[in-house]
Amino acid sequence: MIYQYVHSLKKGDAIGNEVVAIREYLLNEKMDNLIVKFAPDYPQKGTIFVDEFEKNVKADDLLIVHYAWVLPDLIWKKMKAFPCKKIMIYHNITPGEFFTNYDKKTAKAAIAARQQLAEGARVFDAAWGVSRYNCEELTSLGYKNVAVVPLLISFPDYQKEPNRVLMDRLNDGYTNILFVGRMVPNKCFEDIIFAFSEYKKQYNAQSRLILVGNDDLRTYVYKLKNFCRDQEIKDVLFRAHCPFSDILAYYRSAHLFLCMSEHEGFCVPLIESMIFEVPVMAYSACAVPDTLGDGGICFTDKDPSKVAGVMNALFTNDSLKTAMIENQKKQLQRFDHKVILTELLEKIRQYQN
Amino acid sequence: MSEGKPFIKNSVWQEQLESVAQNAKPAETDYKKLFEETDNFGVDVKTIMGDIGVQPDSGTDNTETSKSESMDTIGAYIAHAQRIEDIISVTHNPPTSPLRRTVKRTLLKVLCWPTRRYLIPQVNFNTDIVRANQEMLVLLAKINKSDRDSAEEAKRELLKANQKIDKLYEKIEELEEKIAFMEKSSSSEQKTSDKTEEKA
Repeated sequence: MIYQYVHSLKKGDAIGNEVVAIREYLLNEKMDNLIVKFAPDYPQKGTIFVDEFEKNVKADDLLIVHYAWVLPDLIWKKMKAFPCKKIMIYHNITPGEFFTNYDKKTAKAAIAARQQLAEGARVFDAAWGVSRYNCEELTSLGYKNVAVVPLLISFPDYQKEPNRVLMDRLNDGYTNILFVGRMVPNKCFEDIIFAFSEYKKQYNAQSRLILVGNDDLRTYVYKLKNFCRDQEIKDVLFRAHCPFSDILAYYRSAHLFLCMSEHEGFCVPLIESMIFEVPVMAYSACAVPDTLGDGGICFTDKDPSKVAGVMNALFTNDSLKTAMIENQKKQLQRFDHKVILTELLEKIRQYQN
Repeated sequence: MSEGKPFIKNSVWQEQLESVAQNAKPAETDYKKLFEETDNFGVDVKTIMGDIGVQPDSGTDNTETSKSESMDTIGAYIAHAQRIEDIISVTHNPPTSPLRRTVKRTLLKVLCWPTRRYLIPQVNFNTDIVRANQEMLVLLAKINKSDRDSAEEAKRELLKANQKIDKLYEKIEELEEKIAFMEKSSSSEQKTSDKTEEKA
């Protein structure tokens, strides 16, 4: 039996989607598997809780742990003692320093997660990172059998019906600049706002910035909103907890995806933008250059005027934009579901008795 | 950026865009400094709106939406303030002096330790309410301004339209004169041609 442990299975979440996709693929391959979870969240077929897993786990089973945040001590101790083979899929952990000014609890948890990750080198038989960057981290911590297994992204989901009303409202002649991601300091939303403000001032007053993502870290979000208000930066939309159809509408109406994040283990929205043929500009940090490849524009400096200058060049040069989209399409082929799942299956078989 | 370090990382785009980035007009605003100076206080309007059953607006931020959002926000602030029946009088620290706020909080912690469980949330709450009131005033000012602006814009548009109409009238008059002139000249030509025919 193959088990996948995920601390919390969230609907629409990149990790949650991957867990479900792996389960379905293994079932198609006639391989028995279950999802083990800790938190009672949204219902999903084939899931059990940790205590049930603990009762049934055998030495010839395989446990795949999706690691993205600190696990409770209780679980972590049990994890070490489970008799089966254990593989970690590492989705990366945001360093605690990013949160110190905004949320001390989260900062502490992130530091604890990093300590736990370091201990994990002695617990897991293999560790797979969703990007080369993640694998380098694992190798430096002494993990053995490290390999890259890119994150599974369900392309057909993005063909669903978008919110047409919202799309009509957004397609009003304005240039829409988009970023999608949790509103947390490591994603550097402020840098996006700086570049947007400069672009609006210098090149195009009829432009709009759309920031979509979970806004639970209120202190950070307040600071961003207060900044926009105080500096009179207009047409900045903060959108949180949107339905999927709204997210599709934002992507379909976007003219550019701008990412200034300083810490990413993979960065799914880059792939999403490529799917929607939205040109991508992203600051080169962590896994971003790896995920983006030669598709979009990767830059090394956050100077708002330089970023704005390149944005303007992109909007005014159609052939450049077309070439970029073509390159992004090629880049997407690396993330084909079938290819990744076949590789994953081969890897799983190596560890399955 | 250190000198000589390319702005564009991927070679595919470097040739086309590097010079664009390097020749960009430098920004006049020190965004980083301004952002550091910005406070991170706010009232969780969405939660309050949820509590009182008001649906937040979604979609774009055009004038109408932002206006309705502002009105919703004000409504939520008022509801927020009304819910607090026992606001204690604590001196408010302006949001621009975090040091003073920290000192005051520390003093409260030390001096009022038996009651701090009650006091500190109240202090936070009061700060939020003062902040909310300030935001409310800003929003009202913005709404008034936008109304004023739109009225002025309408006036300007009206003036422009009137000027256009005036010009059109002028053109019409010109045309009428031309037509009249042409009619006159054609009738006089007709007369002369008639006369020559008679003579012939």
